[in-house]
Amino acid sequence: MATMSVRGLRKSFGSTEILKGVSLDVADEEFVALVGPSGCGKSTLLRLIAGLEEASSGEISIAGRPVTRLAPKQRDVAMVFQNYALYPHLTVRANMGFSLKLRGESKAGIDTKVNQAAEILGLSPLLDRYPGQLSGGQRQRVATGRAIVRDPALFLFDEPLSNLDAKLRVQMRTEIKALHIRLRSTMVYVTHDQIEAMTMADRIVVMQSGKIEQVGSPLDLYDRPINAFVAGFLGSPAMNFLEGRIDGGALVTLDGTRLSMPGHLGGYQHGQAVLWGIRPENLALAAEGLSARVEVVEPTGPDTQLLLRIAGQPIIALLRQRMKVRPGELIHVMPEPGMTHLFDKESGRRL
Amino acid sequence: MTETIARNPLAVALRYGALSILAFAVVCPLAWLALASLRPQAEIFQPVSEFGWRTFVPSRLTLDNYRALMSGDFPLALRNSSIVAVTTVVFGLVVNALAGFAFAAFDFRGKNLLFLLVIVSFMMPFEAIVMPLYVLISGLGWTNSYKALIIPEVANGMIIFLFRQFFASIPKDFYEAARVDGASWLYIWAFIAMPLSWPTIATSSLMLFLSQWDSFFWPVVAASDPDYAVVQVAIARNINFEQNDWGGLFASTNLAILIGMIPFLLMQRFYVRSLISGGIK
Amino acid sequence: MLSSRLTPFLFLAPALIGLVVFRLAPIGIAVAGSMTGTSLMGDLSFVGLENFAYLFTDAEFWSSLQVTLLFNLIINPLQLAVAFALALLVFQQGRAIWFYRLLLVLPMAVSTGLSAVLFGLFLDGNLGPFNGFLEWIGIGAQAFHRNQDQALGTLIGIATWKGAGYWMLFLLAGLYSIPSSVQEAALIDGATPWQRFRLVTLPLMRKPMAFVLVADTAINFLFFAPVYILTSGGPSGSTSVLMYQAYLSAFTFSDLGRSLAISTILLMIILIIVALELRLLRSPEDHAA
Repeated sequence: MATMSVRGLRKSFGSTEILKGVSLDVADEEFVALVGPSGCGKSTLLRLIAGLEEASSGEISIAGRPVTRLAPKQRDVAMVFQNYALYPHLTVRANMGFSLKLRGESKAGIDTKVNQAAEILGLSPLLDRYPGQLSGGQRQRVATGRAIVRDPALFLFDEPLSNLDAKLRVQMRTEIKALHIRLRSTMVYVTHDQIEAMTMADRIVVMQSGKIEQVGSPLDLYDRPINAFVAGFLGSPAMNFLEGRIDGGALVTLDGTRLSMPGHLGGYQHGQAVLWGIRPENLALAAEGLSARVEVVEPTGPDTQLLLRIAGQPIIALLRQRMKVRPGELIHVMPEPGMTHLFDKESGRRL
Repeated sequence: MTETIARNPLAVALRYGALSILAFAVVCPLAWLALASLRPQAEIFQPVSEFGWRTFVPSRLTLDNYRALMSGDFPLALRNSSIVAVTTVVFGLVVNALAGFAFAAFDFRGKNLLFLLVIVSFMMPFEAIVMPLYVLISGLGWTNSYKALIIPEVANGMIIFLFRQFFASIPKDFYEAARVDGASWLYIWAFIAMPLSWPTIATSSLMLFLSQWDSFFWPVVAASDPDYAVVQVAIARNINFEQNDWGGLFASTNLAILIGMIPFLLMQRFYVRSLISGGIK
Repeated sequence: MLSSRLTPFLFLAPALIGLVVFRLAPIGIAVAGSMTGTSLMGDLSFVGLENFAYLFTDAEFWSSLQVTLLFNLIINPLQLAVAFALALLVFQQGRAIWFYRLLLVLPMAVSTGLSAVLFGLFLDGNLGPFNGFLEWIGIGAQAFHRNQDQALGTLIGIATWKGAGYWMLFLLAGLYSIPSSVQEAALIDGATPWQRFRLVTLPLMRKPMAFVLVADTAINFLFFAPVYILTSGGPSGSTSVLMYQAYLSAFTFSDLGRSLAISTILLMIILIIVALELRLLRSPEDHAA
């Protein structure tokens, strides 16, 4: 197992720059998730680490060894592909043992390792089947098994669960996380699903437009997003934003409503254009506070999700209780103290 | 030795080198013929000992050979080929598109068996049945006529297959909506399905045209009379018989190749896609 | 409703009648005709398997069968190999490659007959440049299709010139159908370019290659136009393939029974090949993803 580091990595395809200078350190035995909207460069970054694409500039090293110009086979990495990329003409056993066979390992050695990995993943009864005879979840396991057998310095996952249905995805999520703990291996995991990133990763790297926006532990990023993009990307339902200007201790929204927020807005520059953010679960019913018109009520069982309109803008509130409210009613909500976020309107940066 | 990701420049050079040699080998005879057909009569013979760039490049370019063609029997062959090919395209489109539509839009008894007949009919090369077909045609008294050249070639399994594939890709809702509005199936075929299928119509026209323009064995067998000689047959005869008009042979061969090749070049993308869908899918 | 049950058959009728009469019926005619003999008066009579019995004692038939088999044994693997090599060479991105592809498939737009005429001229000692070229590089002029030992090879060369680009297209489509991620997985698994070709590409190309081999064989068993145009089966019967024998029997020797007997044999071979082809296309490879 090993560390991985990337320094000033750039990648262009023709005249479009996909990665615009990315630096990242991954510690030994760490599980790092790369998240971001599609086209943000997360998959390209992973492919550069794997050696499937060549960097335009910058350095990559794995286990302290520079690998930037090396072919994939010399990097000691294993990769799990989005569509699994199993060899259709080989059995599960041969798929998993393929890399070992290429390496020239003895047949007995290959069998031992394949059987061991199959045991871990519950694939033992399927070893003599072909990929075409397996379900999606089983194929996913075989792809993972093929990587495990290698015992590589670094595991790379490229959206490995995105082709599975929702239920299976949750199950495989847990399995991969358990696998990480068991193998104590270094893993880099690309996903567009922020819940996957939140639940699985030791650290999350949020990317946008070929750049890293923020790196940190899931809860760090959740609680103290560095900018409005990260704030909006992590969390479901997403953080609410109200656009407005600061006027003393109050926020004047676009339609001119004056929301007074004692204790929240002190000390900021008067007149500054801002985005005020609050997560849906950080709003509570109150006798007074922000007055809100209820538009939609969505009970989910344990919770109630309300679509509200505050100062003419839609706001979602997630309340940990069952409620008897009707659309059209006027209620009051209060932000939990210390749980609001303020971002500069212009730059999106946290204030 | 460490392997790098960067493309090996030697491998790239080898690839393009090999491709260039192969492409030259493929194009050279065609290019030579095109240039030779523009040669003056006096330069047609190329003694083996005088190999050089003059072997390929005429001292002057002239259309004499083509002009001379117009006075021989070639115009008749051109006319025969055109009549045969164009008639086959027109009737072939209608007949095969109707059948393709039936396979795509209707469910009926024996559908799978009939479709198997269609597929087998285009997997079995036509040459396989030329001799017995000749027995049939001569039994009907059709030998040495346009009928003999056209009618057996109108129904074409490959074209039926292509139309079926296309019509099957149109959602059935489309047809059913028109049915609800009271349209007849023939109306739906002619005014809804056919107008949508122009790429298939275009490739099918080309395939039907080439099937006739290029056919040789069947015309040799079924219409050997000089009055019904098509282009391929007329040219093939000219290379066999002792004759003096080599320039004319160059010109007519080149012309026949070009007439087949130009529509192919214009439509090669569609054409190739259809061809492959018929073969592999 | 009666009309709606009839409708599909009205749509099908013209095409199906055409296929049945001009494609299916001739198979029956071949089989039936192969069992008839024609007297000098032109009367037909049933002769059973006499035509076949006679064929099997006829040295010319055996030699023709031998030529046909030799021709197919060489040309089919050769065309497959050339087409596969071409497909691998043009399996790339880029504008330049697109241009090469176009050049390589040009001959498929030239009919077999015209290809034969073209090479008849190109290889001619007086008219074409090729022998001059051979002299110039020191090999010396060759007779090609006019030489007993070179004629079959020359025809194979001409047919490959015309066919290789065509079959390349099917193999190229096969190469494109291999997911690029499978190749990448092999790259990460540590396969060298040669290992990737042998252990991944080649096994995954089995089906398109089998298709090309079978379809090409069907066409080459019926090889005719270049023989008719360039060699008339000669020199000394060295290119007298079965299809040409069938033609000669009917039109030069007026022995329709013999011609149809040969046609029947060819048809049986072709139908076996078509059955193989159907099986190949029908049975989805059970372990294909």
